[in-house]
Amino acid sequence: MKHLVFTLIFLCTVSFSLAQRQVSGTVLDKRDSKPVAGASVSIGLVPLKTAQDGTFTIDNAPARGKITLSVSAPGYQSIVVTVKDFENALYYLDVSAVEDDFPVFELDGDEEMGYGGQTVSGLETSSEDVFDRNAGYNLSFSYFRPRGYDNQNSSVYINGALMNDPENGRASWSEWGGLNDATRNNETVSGLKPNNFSFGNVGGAENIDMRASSMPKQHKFTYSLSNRTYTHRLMYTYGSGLTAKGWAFSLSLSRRWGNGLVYNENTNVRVPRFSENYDSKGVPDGLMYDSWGYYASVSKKFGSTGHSLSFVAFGSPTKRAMQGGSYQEVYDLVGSNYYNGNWGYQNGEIRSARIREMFLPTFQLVWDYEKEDTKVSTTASYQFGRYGTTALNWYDAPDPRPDYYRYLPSYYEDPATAALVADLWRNDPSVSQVNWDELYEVNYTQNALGRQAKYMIEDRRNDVSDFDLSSVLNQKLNDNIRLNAGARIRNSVTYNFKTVSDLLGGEYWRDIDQFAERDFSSNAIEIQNDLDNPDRIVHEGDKFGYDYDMHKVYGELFAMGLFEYSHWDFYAGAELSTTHFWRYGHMRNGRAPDNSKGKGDVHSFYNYGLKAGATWKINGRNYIYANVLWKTRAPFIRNAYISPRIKDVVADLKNEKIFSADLNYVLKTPVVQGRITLFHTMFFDGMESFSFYHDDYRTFVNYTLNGVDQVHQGVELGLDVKILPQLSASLIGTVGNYRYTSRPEATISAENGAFEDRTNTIYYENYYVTGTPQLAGSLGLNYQAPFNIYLNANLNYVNWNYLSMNPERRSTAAIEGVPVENEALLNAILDEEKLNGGFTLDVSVGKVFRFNGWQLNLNASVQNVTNNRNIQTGGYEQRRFDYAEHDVDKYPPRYFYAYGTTFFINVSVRF
Amino acid sequence: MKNIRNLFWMPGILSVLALASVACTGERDTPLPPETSLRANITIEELIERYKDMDYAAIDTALCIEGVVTANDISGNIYKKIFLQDSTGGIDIEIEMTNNNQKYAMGQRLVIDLKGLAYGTYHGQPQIGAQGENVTERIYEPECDEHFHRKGYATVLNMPEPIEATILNVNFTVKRGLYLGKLIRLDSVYFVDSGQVYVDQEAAAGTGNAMNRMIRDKNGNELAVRISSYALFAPDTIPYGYGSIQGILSVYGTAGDLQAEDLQLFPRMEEDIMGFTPHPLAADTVGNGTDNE
Repeated sequence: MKHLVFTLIFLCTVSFSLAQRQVSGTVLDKRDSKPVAGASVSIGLVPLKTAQDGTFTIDNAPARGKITLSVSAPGYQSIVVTVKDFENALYYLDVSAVEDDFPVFELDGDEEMGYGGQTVSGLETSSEDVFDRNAGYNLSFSYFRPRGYDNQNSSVYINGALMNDPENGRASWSEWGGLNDATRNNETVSGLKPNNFSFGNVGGAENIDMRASSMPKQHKFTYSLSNRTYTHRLMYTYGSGLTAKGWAFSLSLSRRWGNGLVYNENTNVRVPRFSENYDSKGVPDGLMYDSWGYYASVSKKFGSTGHSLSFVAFGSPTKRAMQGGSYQEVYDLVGSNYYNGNWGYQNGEIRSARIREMFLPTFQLVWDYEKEDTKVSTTASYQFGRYGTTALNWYDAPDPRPDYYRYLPSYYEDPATAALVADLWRNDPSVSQVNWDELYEVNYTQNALGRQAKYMIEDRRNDVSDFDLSSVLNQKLNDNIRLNAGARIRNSVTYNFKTVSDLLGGEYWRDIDQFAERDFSSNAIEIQNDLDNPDRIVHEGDKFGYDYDMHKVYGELFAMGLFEYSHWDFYAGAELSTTHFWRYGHMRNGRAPDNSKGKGDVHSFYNYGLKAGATWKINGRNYIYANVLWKTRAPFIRNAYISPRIKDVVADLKNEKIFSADLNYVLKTPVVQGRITLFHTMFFDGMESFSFYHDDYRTFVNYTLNGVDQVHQGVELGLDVKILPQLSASLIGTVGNYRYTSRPEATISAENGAFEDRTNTIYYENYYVTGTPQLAGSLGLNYQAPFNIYLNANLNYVNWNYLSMNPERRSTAAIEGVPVENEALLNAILDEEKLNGGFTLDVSVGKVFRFNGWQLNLNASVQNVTNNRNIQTGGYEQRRFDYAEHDVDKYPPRYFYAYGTTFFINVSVRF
Repeated sequence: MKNIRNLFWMPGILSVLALASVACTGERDTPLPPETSLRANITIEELIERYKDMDYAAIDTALCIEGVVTANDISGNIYKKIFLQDSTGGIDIEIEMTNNNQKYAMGQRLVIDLKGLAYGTYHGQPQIGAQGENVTERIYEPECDEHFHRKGYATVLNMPEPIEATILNVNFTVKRGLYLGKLIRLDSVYFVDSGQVYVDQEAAAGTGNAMNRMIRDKNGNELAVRISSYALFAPDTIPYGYGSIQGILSVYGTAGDLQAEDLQLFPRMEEDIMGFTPHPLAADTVGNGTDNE
């Protein structure tokens, strides 16, 4: 392989270097002819940023044919032209009325609901690729994941610091939510394509540049009004630009608040929940939102030494209510697919039991060196803070969640009783929502008896302390060869514990495990959560239940050579990394007295990755390129431990292996631009884990799947066609085939020791990977009307999304006793449920005014104009199963639906 | 022109490849029945013969028996044990597990790896249990998982036919233990205590929470049918007339000197008591005390 690469390089150097062509020019603002810095210029595949004076030079342009060049920059209309003058041509950009402030659906996963961490990435929205950009924006409503990859397969960097969560590997955009202006500057690469800041990941990588020196000089105010997740958004951003003395300052502040206009904020008035008002919204009820965001940065360039320093600080203190999915029975009962059982009325005010409160301030110091052909960027980054989600907890009392199956009409066999319950569900919010008043009353009664509270709100915390030190070198060796190399050390600790958030009128809580108490005797050591402090009485603010830290030390080195010639480009790179993690317990748990407290075993992994690719520049308009990757990856901490809240026990840990390859054809002409890609990715020895509350055992049950193999294959198509000079159409589509290809081993562990940990084979072969549509497309029309008006309509389609499975339903035990000839029942148990797909239509309009250096943008968008409320974006089978009777309807699944019609209105002024 | 040509042939080839890759889907997985490579190397009869008359013997050699579960706690009449039977004999397996009828359903074929377990004789009844201090103990569930290997799913097809016996030959062969631990059926018998409930809870409290209800054949031979207070049918009324009873024959006496009166028949569920009538008047016309032929 190595030999072959070098031979090819040699041949190319010899045969093609003579035919080298160079394209250079300057990008300017059409109105005032000022240079546009940081604009993205590309011929072929790899974009290049313009310098401060708007200039660029592209070496190694295709040797044959006309060359198509594209230029894009935030806030401007992109242009695609045929290169006429190869040297020092001028390219003019006109301002765009396209809104770049529309937020992508920010879907924060609720892991406990089995809807684990599916934060949809903003990765592709800013991409230049037709497919990536449209998929990232227009399909986000459906939880679409490019190529079906889990979010943990994409890496997100801020100024070079790795931001993916150290425990689960997923990046969470909400950590810097609301800072749209500050995060607009980024380099985004999807799939396997090489980038300049890292080795890359299977699903792509993004580096957000937040240094003051990269921010445009401006003041910008933005106000938005919406009925999606919040009502109002206010943002202010300032950039000083680079002063004569080499200083740059920038600042951004934002606030997002409101409940998406769903209920009457006059808190003294009890709003009828299923009134017109409720149902007309098409979004879940009871979702409060209160988020702030701040960002500040200072840069200093040290004259002509090439050195510069930047300090960056940002954070988004956010408090928001979580959405909960429910059963179809409940949706039908209340007449809305957006029922949210997490909230209830307390003194007439809406209160949610599940509030996420997070604040992860980040501080970074960046040292850049740039001179001639050498560029080195070194970043020290520190992030810390709180990340918590509240939930109801109860002791020796009925389940307080309104849609618990025993409270539903279907639980009652007597039709009259069922009808009565159904009626209460429709008309009495104390039945259909959390009944706070009753929970308080129960606790008051307990107080009178001198007993502990029966209900409370706990705050489950996953706090973080994360230090990341990295350095990346970009070295140009000659006109044809570039070298990227980097090193990183990351030391992170996550603090996992829970606290008593609100005793709901109760006086105290005793820190024992209630189910353990039922199963063992009341004085057995098994019931103690903290043996060293038995029967500890806790009050609001106290830690209880569990308390442990996860430590992780990660190091990586990578190097990549990029070879560029007139007919061919190549690259090859390698990565070495090492991961060490361990658990440190602060409580001696009664169910694992010997392996719960103190420092646990250190688990070490050594990994490597190899990656290579080539581009054949057929001519200046046709390109074929291919990439291939093989890498190994350490297990994620979140999946590695069997019952981390209780004990220090890991699964049989193995490195995950990933193979991925793609083959692409790119067409680039001023009239038609497009890409078609064939991809094939295989994951071996992956792990999945989730935990859920088991009603029968009255405890959390942790479920770990080990040895999960997957194949993700399919095709992506993106096409942009200029029909008229002012009218263009875009079409994207993807057909995927994402399947499991192994029979993983499941380990099931009950936190209260209701049963010994047990293992089970899960028969997953050829089941579809769940949680994303595998068939999706979008057809858009974009009209650049006179007077700087922009009109857009997009018709989107998603389908082939599957309900998240209960693995136990695909085990031997599940079909035990089902006669082989009863195929209907066998299929009912084993088959995967396909979720409802469908079409949505989005429209948006924008207008931009410009005068005296001021710019005013007005934008409005309406998503899902036809109010299609039947698209299921996800859901999951209950993790219980009726083994005795094989009644698949006994424990129905929970579903989530795509929002109905929503709007977003945006006004911004910049000067 | 050249561009137009490129426009068509390259995406064309890729599309064909793509369709080929997307179209290839395998068949959905189906869980396999439980299987084990372990095979029996001793029959149940040989096992009992080997440890004959020993009250307790820890098994530390590689011995495996294979059989079918013939009885469990399906109705509560049998508690924390199952009976395993092969073509040669049947044996009591003591397990520390309630609701064992789900995991070890009747008709379940099991291979039991005896190494690490113990053989014992409890009041004359051969049994397998966990190793204790000179006494067999009930086997805990994790240990069951380790030693009990299921072969296929439980099915009635696996169930051995109940051995047709008479009270006389059961009593006669008690010393040889010919029917002990096996599923047997007795025809043309009647209950001595017809009309009473199976278990008088108060009276049973003093006799191990169970009662012996005698059955008798036309010749006056008697056998005890043992019903637990916890059996689902314990509060039901004992039927009248002649009928058939099937169940597991067990013994509670002095090892080495077993007598006919030490024998106990354990019906597994109410369905094991067949062909009787609930009404005293109709009793005469239902069974006549003669063999059915």
